[in-house]
Amino acid sequence: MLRVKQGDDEAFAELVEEFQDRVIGILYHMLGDADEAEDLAQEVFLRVYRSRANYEPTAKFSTWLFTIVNNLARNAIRDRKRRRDRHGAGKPASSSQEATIDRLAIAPSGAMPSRIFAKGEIAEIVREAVKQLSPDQRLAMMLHRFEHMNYKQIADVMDKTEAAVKSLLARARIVLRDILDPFINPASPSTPREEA
Amino acid sequence: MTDSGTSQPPPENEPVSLAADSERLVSYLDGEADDVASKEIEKAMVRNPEVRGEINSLQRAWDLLDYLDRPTANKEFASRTLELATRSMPETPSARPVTAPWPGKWTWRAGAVAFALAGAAAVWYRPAMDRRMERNLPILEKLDVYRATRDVEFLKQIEKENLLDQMDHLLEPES
Repeated sequence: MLRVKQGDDEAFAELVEEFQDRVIGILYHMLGDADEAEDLAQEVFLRVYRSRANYEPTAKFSTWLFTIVNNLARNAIRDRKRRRDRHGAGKPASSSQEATIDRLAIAPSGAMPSRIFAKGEIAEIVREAVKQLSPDQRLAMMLHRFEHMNYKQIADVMDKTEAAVKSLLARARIVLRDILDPFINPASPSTPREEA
Repeated sequence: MTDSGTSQPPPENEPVSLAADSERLVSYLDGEADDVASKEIEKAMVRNPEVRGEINSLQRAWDLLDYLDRPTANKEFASRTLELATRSMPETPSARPVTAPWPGKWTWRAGAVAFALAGAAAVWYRPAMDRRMERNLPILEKLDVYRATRDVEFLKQIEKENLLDQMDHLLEPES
């Protein structure tokens, strides 16, 4: 980043290549749309380029980068919510997501609880489960799980206290466990099959 | 810093209970619990199968996150981003084109404005001067007589008797 600050465009290209997949990955799970994630990732890097002169190496570059990711993702989610409110739609995704989780739990064989899920099915179930998290829980989860950030670093990125991050991650784990438990622990009393 | 609301963790020497201690269990799983809290939780896991089950289920659900798809960037993403960046901001901090410090473009603009104001003032001032000259013309024409008399009362007297015009004729040079 110091080379980028000095006006080295080649260094900027290297920086983009190093971080692009990580930024797009987080934005994809924050927004749920691959094209939107890529567009916003581009905006993230353009902001890095525009503010390169002001960069001070006091914090890790990745912390600074993901702070920009957080800000842009929050703005995008807020804009999307405003658009949805303006058009009078409530929460269209939630019920369909729950239906997807239920459908995947039972179909196609209906052989729960001994049913074995294919890798793609598990991925879909987990993706839908992640969508049930709040945006803050989702980001904290992604930064912890995939960026291996500790509570302090996540707190810096999200402009929260470490205690708040601890609470977010605890809630995220509990929500995921409650949704995914029937799939990882078929004997669980909350198995969708048994509720049906 | 903003705090989205957290519950106060129980004292570390209290026995671990599932409902109240989810944050403590999660921080243990995240490797963020201190030594005392970690030992307390490990003891509880040995003593209490429910705590053990809770820890295991929380960890298994978390491990499933590895199944999440991680999209990758388009092949041209980096080059396209660089092109956009350099196109929108061609100046780099160290390679900014050197501009002459003086006169800058603002100096030229200030000069043009001053010139325009001076022109406007001249256009306004010239007729004003002409009007004043016109108004004072009768005095100027008889200025020599006024200077010769040096007495206002006498001037008023000869003006009354219309002698000034006659003096004009007398003062006119013979052709």
